[in-house]
Amino acid sequence: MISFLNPFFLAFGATVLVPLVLHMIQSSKTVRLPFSSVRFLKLAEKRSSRRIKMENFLLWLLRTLLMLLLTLAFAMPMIRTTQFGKSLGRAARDVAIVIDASYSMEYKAGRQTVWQEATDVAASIVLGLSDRDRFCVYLAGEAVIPVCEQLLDAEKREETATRIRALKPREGSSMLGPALMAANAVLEQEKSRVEREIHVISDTHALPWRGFKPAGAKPAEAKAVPAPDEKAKATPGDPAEVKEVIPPDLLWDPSKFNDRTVCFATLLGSQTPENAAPLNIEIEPRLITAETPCKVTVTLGRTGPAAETAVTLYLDNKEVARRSITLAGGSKSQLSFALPPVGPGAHALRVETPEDSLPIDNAFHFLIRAKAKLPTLCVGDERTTFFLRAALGAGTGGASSINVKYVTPDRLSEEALQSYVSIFLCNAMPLPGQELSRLEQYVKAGGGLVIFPGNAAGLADYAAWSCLPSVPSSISDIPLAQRKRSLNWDKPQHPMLVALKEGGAVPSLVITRQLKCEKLVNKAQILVSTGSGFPFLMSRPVGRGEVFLFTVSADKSWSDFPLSPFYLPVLHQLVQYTAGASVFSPFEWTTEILPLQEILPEATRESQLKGPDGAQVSIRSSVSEGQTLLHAEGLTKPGIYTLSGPQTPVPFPALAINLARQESDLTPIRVEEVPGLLGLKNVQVSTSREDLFKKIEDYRIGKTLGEPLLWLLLLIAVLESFYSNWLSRKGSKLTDTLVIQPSGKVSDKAT
Amino acid sequence: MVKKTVSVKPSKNARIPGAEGIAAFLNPEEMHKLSRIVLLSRYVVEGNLAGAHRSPLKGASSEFADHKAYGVGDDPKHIDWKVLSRTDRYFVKRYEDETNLRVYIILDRSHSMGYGSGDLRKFDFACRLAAALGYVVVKARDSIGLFLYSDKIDIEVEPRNSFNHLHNMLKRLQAVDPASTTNTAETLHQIAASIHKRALVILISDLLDNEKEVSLALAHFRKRMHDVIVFHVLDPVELDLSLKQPFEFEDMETGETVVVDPRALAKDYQALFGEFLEQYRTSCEGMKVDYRLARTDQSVETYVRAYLEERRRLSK
Repeated sequence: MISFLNPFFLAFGATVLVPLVLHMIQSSKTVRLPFSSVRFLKLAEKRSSRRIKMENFLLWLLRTLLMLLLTLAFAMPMIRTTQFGKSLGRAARDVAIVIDASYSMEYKAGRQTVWQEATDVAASIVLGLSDRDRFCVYLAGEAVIPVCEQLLDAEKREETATRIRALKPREGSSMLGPALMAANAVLEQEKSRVEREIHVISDTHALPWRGFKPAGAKPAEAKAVPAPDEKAKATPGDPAEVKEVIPPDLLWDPSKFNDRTVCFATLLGSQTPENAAPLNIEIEPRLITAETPCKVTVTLGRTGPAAETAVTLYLDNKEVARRSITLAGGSKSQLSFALPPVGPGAHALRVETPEDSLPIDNAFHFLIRAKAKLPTLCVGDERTTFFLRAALGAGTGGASSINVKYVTPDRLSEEALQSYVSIFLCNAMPLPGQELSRLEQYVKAGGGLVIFPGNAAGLADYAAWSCLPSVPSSISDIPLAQRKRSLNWDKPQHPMLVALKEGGAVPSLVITRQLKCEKLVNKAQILVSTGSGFPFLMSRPVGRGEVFLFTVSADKSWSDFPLSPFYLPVLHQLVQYTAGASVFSPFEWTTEILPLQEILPEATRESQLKGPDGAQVSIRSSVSEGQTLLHAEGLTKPGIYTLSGPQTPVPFPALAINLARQESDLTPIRVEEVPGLLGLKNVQVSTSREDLFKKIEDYRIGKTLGEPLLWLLLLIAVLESFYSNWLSRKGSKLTDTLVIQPSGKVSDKAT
Repeated sequence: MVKKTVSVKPSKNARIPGAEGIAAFLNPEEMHKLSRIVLLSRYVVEGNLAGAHRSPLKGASSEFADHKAYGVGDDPKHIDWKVLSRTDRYFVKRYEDETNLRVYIILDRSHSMGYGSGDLRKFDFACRLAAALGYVVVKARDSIGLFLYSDKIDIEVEPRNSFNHLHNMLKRLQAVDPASTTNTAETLHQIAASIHKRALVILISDLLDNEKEVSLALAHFRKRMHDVIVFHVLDPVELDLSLKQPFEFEDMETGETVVVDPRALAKDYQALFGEFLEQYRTSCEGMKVDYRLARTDQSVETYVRAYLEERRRLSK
């Protein structure tokens, strides 16, 4: 059966009459010319009439054919027959469908989102299969998500189409490569099928196509997930830091695809998407106390042309500030808000940009926990802690005030360590093992522990610790001649020391007794040393907190440190620093599982954690190395999560969860790049549903004859041109044939 | 539908405007160039005056020709006494009689002679050719006469050898335009019958008539021992059919029309026309008629000079 892709042009088929009409018009328009005698004309006409008729007919035929071919070429005839289709391989086929499930698919292009269009296309592909075809469906998220993991027979078409239409995108990014590899692996299991198709349906976003390498390049290597300790310091959300955890068998490798497999890549949605979103926030200072103003700096990103965007800051669901900024397309900008002083406690904030085509990333949630004071615990006997308590109790006024509580070592177990920003141990050792564990746990959870040695502890008592910067090797009495020591700032850029200026007179101490520490453990450092190179103050980060170890006592028994002018500022700085170090992260990214002991230490097994929609979030416990660890599951909805428990019956904002923002950068991929990235033999790229189904139809059933007709047209045109030129070529003249002399004598050239 | 017609008008260069007679056809420079050449007859002719041409009439002349037996009535003073003494028989001397040339120009004025693709119609060219030849003839003190014909003899002028006669003859020619149909053969026969004395007959025509009959007519002249020159006047388009678009050709004499594309027909037309020319050339050659082709795109004066030069060379 022949059909036409552009039947409208068949109307111009009447143009085949043009050569005939022109000929007739020409005939009727001949000019009458008086001539001496028509005798020879008539004889010549009679002699050559047949030849002339043939030549005219041929010319007419060529010109008519030209017009006919031109009309047909524009009408694009297409031969579609079942027989013809079979000869092209219209046999039973296996079809794999991969749908991009990243949150950027929620982009609204027209009346529906890209996701809705994608699922509709996928369902249509499934429904359009014939009875002998088979299919499987996968979603491409941050991991490969099978919808129909094995090849299903066509009788499941309806059911699967319904399932596909009910699917929802994921709150995360996607990688298409592993999903395509997984889908191909399913197709490769069935060797008997010759015809194979892989359909990948995505938006125009370039991010899902990372991980593909141009043909010839080496496949990407799997990268490890950063360790939890390191993760705390990372700044998630930056696309450059996306975790790429790809199993080796799913690394993109086009050589594993059969040559006969055809890949249809459909990029739906806008070719020029626009999106503005807050990407990250920073709060200064990190330690926020009540009645202390702070600054919130928002990082904003935009895809599309530059535009002015209004950014609104909400505090506890009330608008507190609004500013406008012109965001340049394809780059990030920063905008700062001055946050007014807030009362003590946890406060939920969010930064919002106006509603756009991708609304899911318009809000960025975070928390601040304003502290009333800086609760500090001082552990030791009264005499040892005298100077310490005096120094800490002396309020510096200004930005912070320290609330010191003093307990003796035997009462330590009664204290809830998490409620203190820092704990000073002054000649408090030896301590029971349980307390050591609690203190270590406290530090890991973000607390600051400052240890002053004393006469009560022996070397073995220090060795019992696992979190000290160094295990002392001895307790030395300093000879008289060496007691006067100058102090050196070994790490002047350390945040703890930066605020302490070394300028002016070199601080010096008289030290009579000192811990001797020769070896530092991993990640420990000497912050201050004495003139002879002996450590004076060391630090070691443990978990989210830090441990500081002085080598002299807090009182005058080992040195005159308490009498020195920088005793008070050092202690205050320690409290400030450790309080700031223990500040919790204002937000977390969406995740399936989140350990709580570090992020939400106040959570217990009895606590109730609820999501932004009020749904209960599951808290599970596990035991590891004798410790009970809690983790929350299913933190995939962005928003503020509240915590309540037996001791805190009123729910308070506990977690701010945000979508990882790499999908918000909607920089599109260029359509022509896709075949090169895939590196497969047969790739068809479409940018709309109609284009896709046309390509499918062309591939499966028939081919248009437009191009061959145009080539034929060109050939005929060249032929007509040559022929008509040959006909009108100048022939020889009789006067050239006859040799006519100037006198009029005539002779033949031959004679 | 009213068709557009290309008209053939008398060309401006045919005659010198404002002049009459000889001056209408030849300018002083042309006359000067033509005055130095003569038109010689290849054969003996009969004439009245003592001129440069050999006459078949043998009478009192300075040049001895041959003897004949004495008969009653012969003049005794021509008896050749030496032959008598040798043979004892009486013979009289016969002498060559040198006399002037009588030239008859036979000019075709049929409608077909009115065709011309360039500046000159064939008739205008023929008139100029006749004028040039006439001038040469009269300059040599020979006699010139004229027959103007179409389907009959329209004008007949007896030969005279004065410029005044030539002038009047050309004046009559000046007043004539091509008209009527052609009947070359029969007219030629009539003319041949009317010329009694041997003469030089110059036929100026396009000869678009039955070749065999015209050839027979020319043979008639040759039978009467006339020297015949045929100037076959043709337009270059008639020879090559070098037209670039289709036309509805209309026969100027019969009115017949035919629509053809010259570009498609040219080759076959040229073959047929070539055969036509060849027929005349061959038959004239066989009858010792001097056949010459004259194209209307040539200069008449140059053509006549070339022709006469060659004729003079060939007559030696």
